[in-house]
Amino acid sequence: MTKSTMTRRNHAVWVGALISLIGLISYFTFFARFPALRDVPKVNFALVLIGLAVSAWGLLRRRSLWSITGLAVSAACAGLLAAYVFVLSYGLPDAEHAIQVGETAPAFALPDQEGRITTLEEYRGSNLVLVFYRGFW
Amino acid sequence: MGTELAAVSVDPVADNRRVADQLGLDFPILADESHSVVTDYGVLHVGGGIGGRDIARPAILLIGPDGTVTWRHLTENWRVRIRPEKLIAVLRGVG
Repeated sequence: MTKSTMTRRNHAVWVGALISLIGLISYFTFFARFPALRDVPKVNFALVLIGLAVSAWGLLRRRSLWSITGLAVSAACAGLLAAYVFVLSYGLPDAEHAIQVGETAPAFALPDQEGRITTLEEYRGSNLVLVFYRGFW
Repeated sequence: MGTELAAVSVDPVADNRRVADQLGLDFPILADESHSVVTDYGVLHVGGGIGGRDIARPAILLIGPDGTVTWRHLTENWRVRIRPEKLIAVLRGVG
């Protein structure tokens, strides 16, 4: 095995780590904008798995602390994405206290984005779709 | 029968104005900074926000012309929200 081949193979671990990192970050910065790819992050899971596979292949070819670190970075990216998708994003409170169908909606009077006070009473006689958002845009 | 749309979050008016301007939203985004309305509707998520702030959990309610809740959707995962086409189908159903 020539020296240049060994160097390139050693780089594979970090190329894999970079693919995994892109797989993790691009979910939040890009792919989450598309409902189908947000609900089931197919592209992002594919990217982190490809990254992980490339890193693992690189480590098999050339074992060193540097390579192990690269694989660890790949694995961390895949783990963080999985943790967010399968655990963190389910972190919502029990819905048992939430208003039920058939109950009367509580009155409110809140300022809109122009500061104008808006009340539930203004919507009497119409259907109102009231959407609660987590916010912090 | 007309159907109106309004949003609620715990963010201040200025933040909502910025979002409405950026995204070109023409429906009201209501600022419930005291969390009173979010609490009344039972959708407070204690410590759910950045830095442990109390926020609203994602929730969509359909409130009928007489002020009664006629439909609701509370996601169990904040990444996964109802699709617009599903909501429109629900609205067609209530006429």
